[in-house]
Amino acid sequence: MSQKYDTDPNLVEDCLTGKQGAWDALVDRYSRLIYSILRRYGMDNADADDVFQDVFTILIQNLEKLRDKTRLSAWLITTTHRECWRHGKRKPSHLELDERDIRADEPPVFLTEQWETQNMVRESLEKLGDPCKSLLEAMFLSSSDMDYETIADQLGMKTGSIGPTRARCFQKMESILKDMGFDTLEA
Amino acid sequence: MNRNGIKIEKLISFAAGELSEAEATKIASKIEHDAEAGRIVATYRAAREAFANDDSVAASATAVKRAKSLFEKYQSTTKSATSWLEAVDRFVASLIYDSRTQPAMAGYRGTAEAVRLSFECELGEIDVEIIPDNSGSTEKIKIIGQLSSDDATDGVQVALTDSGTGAMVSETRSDDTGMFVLSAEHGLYDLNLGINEKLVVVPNLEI
Repeated sequence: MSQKYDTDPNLVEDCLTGKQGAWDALVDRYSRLIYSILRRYGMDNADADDVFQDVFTILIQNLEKLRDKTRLSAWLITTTHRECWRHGKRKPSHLELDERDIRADEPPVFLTEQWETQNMVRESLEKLGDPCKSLLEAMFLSSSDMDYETIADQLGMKTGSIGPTRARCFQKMESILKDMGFDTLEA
Repeated sequence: MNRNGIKIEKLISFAAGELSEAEATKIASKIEHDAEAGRIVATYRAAREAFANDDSVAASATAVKRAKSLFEKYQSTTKSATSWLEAVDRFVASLIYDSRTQPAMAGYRGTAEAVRLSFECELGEIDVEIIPDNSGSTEKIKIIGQLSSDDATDGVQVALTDSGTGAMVSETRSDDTGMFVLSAEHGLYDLNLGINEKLVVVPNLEI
């Protein structure tokens, strides 16, 4: 059974009292989110690495101000966007966005929501750990023609246990998402 | 487990689109009157869609390691940068001269908007000239100071902090003549000088 999710305010508070482990957890939690935004904005690995450090430097300098934030993800997405803008990368390269519609100070709302949701889902799966993580990932990615037998075979499970196990795993995932402050989106 | 008569397993199957049309219709009509069941379905679908469309990439191990190392560097930097402001030996400097209260001297061609102040305490004297800083786009004030003391006056740490919150606003070190320059927006500040492990404070300096 995975440990209870440590919220962002708790981690920030621990950082402010000098706990390196809390900072490490924040970096682990958000490194993929930040790095992915940089790559989506067309930065190569070297530039992305540099701006990645800048974003975390800004985060560590502003921890005191952020101690009451429920979720850091939105703040980090905005900060990363601004740093990309500052470095001359003004929009995600793969999106057809009119640059006049993009503000220097914040990314489009639909992108922020999408990236936040993806990050939370990913985090909750990591928190769940295996076997739930592997099962839910397989089920999330399964196409309509992939049957339970194939998935059970891949995961070394009994076919009859797929449905009930998925339900139990998802209930745990749901609980973690709730702790994260995940708002249910419209289906 | 059941939730108002609907098995969780069935709900998830419905959310995943695995039920027959007849079964799906039955579940859909039950969910209409069950907000909790509807939430479970919505959450499953949102999570599945988010995961399936996730094109994120992991940062390199090197980048992550560098980011983690910021903590130790920042801890030691902030400790040394602000510890002198917490010196136990504190001296509050008193105002001994204010140009705004003096009659204009004949023939004196000082800067019309400049304010000259002098403060003294046991450790020395601090002369300050406050003038508008027109170099940038925002309205700022420049503080040009001169420290006179029996102790060494070069390389003295000087900081402007917010009078109310104590937050650092601007900091510098004096040059080899004891002179220093700071810049800030209009406000009420404390001017702090770290002289020989002691702290001299000019409180409530209105700029």
